[in-house]
Amino acid sequence: MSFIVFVFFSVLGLMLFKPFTLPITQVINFIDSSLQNSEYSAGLVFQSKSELTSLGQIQRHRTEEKLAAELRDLQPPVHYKRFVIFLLGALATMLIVFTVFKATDTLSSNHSVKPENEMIVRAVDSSEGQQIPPKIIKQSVRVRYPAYTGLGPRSRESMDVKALEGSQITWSLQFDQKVDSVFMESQSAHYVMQSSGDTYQRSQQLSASGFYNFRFVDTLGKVYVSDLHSIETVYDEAPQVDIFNLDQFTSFEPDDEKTIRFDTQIIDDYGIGEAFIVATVSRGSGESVKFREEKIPFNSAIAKGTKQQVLSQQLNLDALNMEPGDELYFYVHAQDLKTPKPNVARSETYFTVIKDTTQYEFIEAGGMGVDLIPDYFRSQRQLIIDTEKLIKNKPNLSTKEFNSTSNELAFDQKSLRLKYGEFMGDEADGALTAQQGNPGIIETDNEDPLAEYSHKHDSANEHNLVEEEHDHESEEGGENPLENYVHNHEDPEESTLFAKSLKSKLREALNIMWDAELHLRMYEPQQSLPYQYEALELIQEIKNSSRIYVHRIGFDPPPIKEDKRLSGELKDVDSFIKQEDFEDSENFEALRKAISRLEKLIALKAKITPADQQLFEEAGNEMAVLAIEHPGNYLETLQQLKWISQNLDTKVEDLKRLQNGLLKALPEQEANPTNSKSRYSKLDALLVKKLDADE
Amino acid sequence: MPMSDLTFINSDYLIPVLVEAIVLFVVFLIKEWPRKNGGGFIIRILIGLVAVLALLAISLKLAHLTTVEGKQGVLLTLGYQEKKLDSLKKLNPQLTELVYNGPILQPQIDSLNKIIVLGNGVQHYDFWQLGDKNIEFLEGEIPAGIDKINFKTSAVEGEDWSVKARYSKPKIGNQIVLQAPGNLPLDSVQFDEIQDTVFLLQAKLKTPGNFVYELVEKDSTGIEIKREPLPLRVQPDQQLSIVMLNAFPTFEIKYLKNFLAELNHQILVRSRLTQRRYKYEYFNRERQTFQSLTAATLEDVNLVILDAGAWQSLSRKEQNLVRTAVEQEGLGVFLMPDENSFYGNQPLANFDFTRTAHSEINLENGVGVSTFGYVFNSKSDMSTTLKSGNSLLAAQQFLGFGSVSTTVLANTHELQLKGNKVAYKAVWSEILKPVLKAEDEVVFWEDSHQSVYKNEPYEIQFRTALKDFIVEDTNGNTIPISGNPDIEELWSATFYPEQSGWNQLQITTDSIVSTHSYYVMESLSWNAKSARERIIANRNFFKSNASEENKFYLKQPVNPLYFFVIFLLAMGYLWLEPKLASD
Repeated sequence: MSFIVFVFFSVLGLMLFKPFTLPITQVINFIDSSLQNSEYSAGLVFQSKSELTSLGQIQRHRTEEKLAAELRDLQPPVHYKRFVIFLLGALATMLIVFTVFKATDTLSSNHSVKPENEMIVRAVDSSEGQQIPPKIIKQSVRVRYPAYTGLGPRSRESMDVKALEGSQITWSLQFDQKVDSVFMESQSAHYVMQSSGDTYQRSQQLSASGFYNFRFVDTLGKVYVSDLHSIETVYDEAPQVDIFNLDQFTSFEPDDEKTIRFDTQIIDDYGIGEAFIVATVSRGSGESVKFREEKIPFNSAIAKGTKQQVLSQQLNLDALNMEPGDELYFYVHAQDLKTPKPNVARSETYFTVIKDTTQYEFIEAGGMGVDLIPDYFRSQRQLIIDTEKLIKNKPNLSTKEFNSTSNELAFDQKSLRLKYGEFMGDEADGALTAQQGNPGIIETDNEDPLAEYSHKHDSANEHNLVEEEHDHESEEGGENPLENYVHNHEDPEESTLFAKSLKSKLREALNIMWDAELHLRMYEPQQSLPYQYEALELIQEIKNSSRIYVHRIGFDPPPIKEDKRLSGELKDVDSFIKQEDFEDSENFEALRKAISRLEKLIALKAKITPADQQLFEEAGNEMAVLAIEHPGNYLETLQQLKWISQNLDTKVEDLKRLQNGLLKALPEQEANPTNSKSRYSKLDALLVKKLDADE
Repeated sequence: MPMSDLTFINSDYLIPVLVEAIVLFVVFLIKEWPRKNGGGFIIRILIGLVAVLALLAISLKLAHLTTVEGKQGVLLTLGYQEKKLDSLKKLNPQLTELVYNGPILQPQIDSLNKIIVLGNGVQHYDFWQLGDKNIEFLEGEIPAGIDKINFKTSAVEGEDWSVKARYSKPKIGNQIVLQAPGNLPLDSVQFDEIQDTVFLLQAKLKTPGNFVYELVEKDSTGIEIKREPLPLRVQPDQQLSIVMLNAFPTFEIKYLKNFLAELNHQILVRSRLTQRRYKYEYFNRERQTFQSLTAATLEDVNLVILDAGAWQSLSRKEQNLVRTAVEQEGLGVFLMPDENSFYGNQPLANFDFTRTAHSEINLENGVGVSTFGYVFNSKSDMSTTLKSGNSLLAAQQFLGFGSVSTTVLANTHELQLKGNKVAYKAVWSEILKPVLKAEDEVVFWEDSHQSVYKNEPYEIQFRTALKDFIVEDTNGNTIPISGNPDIEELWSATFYPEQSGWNQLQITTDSIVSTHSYYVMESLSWNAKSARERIIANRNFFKSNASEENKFYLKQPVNPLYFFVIFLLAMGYLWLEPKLASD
């Protein structure tokens, strides 16, 4: 308001006095009066030459010259110095006046408490109202935050407190007249407020949310109760730790540079206290695993008390004495400054491993009893992919490269075939030699080149007991016609894990692989492809049927007969007795009763009895439990309960509002089976008997 | 005028007057006898007879019966329309107007041969006064408002309570709010058409006590128009005593046990560990040695929960004991189903099931539960306790006073595991509630669903086996009671409540006291509803009475002057005749 008035008058003043417009006549007068040489002719300079007489023109010229020389020294008639001195003087006076007023407290009137913060105070016994009740003229809540927060104390007039856990709260009240004693009531406990002069004070360390009110006794012994106010405790949260720019799992080859880099961000609401990395190195596997834990400080120091910090860190695995096969898992531990016990937080755990090349175990088809997968071979699918790739790249490759790759593929095809041959019970047939051979050299045949020069002793057919098999094709041709009809256990080919149909399938697959290899060897990958596909299909089928085979022999224990089941030795089995009472903790008995009692009080317009007061006080305590989580929601109802339990005059509307609040606050009951009430007479019994008889 | 229509007003004096007349005539005869030989003797005798008869007619007040046409009355009752009265008056200007407020004055209506009742009609307890009258009932219009309402006046805490009502002629935009005590709004409905609207409002009862919930009508701006009371007695929930016997541990039993135990019910659980070894659990009750079921153990039990194995493991004696307790004491038995329950014999019951393709079913609130793949077949001796659509999911069979129940729901504890505890609790509460043994009360008050109004008769019935008891009202006044002559233990009392609000009746003997709370409404409450009810009652009553219409006769006295003239003429003749004869 005052601001608007100020603006209005300033605008009005500006319009009337126009301090920023300088009329030219005024300027000319000023120059004429302050410069002797102007000869009162400065006005001529501002007139056009044509308007002047010849004498005038001469005088004008003279004045122009003189003025040009002297005008520079001319100062405008404004006294800056005096103005500055005046301004400073005014400021100093203001300051003195203000401090003097403040010191003598004359600025604050008797009713210093702002209306919105004013506490409503009611006399407990309202029968005699002649005396003027004491009035609170000054009230304040001073919150001193815990030292570690670094926050200065704050003082407020509003009595609803919201502060950090551990803060020191000091209430102080000042009355306009003498009072006998002042108490603070909080959760059915009374605390006497210490008086120092006419101010009453009480301090408390904040530990939990709750409610409080003041109660004071005046010099005549009359008791007054204030409004209820909430204390809301804010809890210091644990720091939040995040690690960035690092995968959860990293692995290094033994000869890599084994350093991991990551950024850590730590955020805390009242300041970070400490942070470090906790690293655990595990060595070995299985039962011989060993752990070693280390606490690694961050490279850059933690600035204590900062609310947010980003730290870059490097970890050298070698510095941690890690060897191939060792695993490192680490997390960042951070804690804040909270006293006496800091909040602790940790980041997610990150894993790092140095690969160990010496032990590399890969087990597949574990159910088959024998680990049949070779250390190295390309699968049929892989072969197909590679062959297709080769065909696609043919234009880009030289003939030599093309042929060489085709040959390599043929070699792989061969080793695959040999591997599958092992399933068939084929003797190694140089399977491992194939691997040892140099795939780069085009093999004309797979016979031992030294065969011609040596006497073969180590072969399975050393003594030429059986005719040497030279060709797989011939093997097929020489098949016994009875083979399909007899079950020949002696035949090593029959004594494999596979059923007969499966075996023939595998044999077929091997033959097809032969064809595939042949075409590859002939640098015709295009023609080899159909065979490869066919082989793949067959192998797939075989795999599937072998899975079924495994499933078929799964263990399925026979059911135990019912009469056997409970017929064991029972001498150590004892009956067991347990007794437990469930406390109906969330029953709110007093709240329920209070609602029902209120209904009666409202209907009968009855007076509140001491028993009622007791009931409402209990209800208030139960209500406080409900309200503690949301002090704001139930404050009014709690307040009303408080007053009604103090035997204050309460109107029917207030009672209704209280009942409303209580009903709203009361949690809904769970579904509960309940029985009905009845009365059976002799007549009913007769009827039921008759009904039963009729059935 | 036919002779049969003639009568005497003083017909009571007929005999003495007749005797006197004969005596008079005989005296006349004796007087005339000496002149019998003279001429005209017969004429004189006849004239004398005429004179005596004329005297007779004067003294007995000869009258003739006439049906009265013009004597009609109109009884104006609450809610009559002025227009109707005006048009009736136009038809019959001599219409007698009677206003009905309180008792009817008998003499007033006796003079009327026809009464037209205008308005909502008379109270049902005043019907007897009009019983033998010719009544025409011209019913008034039912005022706008709630004219039909249905709600339970007594419920148990924690229950869902609903009010179903019909509002006739609603105003668009008006709303009805169901308010709990303390004006706490719970549910509301807004009218969007002017047709009669049926609505349902619901509330969850949180706390026991005698309350007055209210239906508040508000206009579209939220201004309160009217409020009507809904008195409700909320009973505190009872602690139940439950015995659970199981032969085989299942999660279903375990969760049910925990659910009931957490509700603070007394539970005794006996689970078989192995042969003759049991695990006994006592929740919220004293530990008690429990070797076998006895009549004493079952006495205070409300419910026995059994699985089929447990029933088989009971001795024959125990089985009979349970059966007797069900039949005679009203004990409830719940059979925990397993796969085998659906074929073969069930203990105590014989439910029929149909196999279904689905082992998953949605309850009426949309929650999915698994079943054993069966549903109940509807049977005449079976009552459904839980159903969803047409599928019967739980049912009970009555056995004497008690009942046996089972369900087809399986693995309901999964609801809890899925976090839907509320649904689990609701399902089991619904299933178990009807089976529970009812609490036997010393006095069972039969709450007739009539509304009780101030200063109007209230008839209440109750059943009790007590003898020598006194019924008192809130103020300690003894209320007269009458026993039903035909039905033993049934008593009734009729009295006029004087105070509105909650009142109590007490039954006192030396020791036992039973109380019954009833709510007395102000006479203006629920006027649309009471108007409608009164109109229907009047309509029915007067319709059934209309057939026996009796004519209204009036004895119209014949003017005695006629007879006097005849007498005078006769006398004149008899006086003159001797003189003329002597001349």
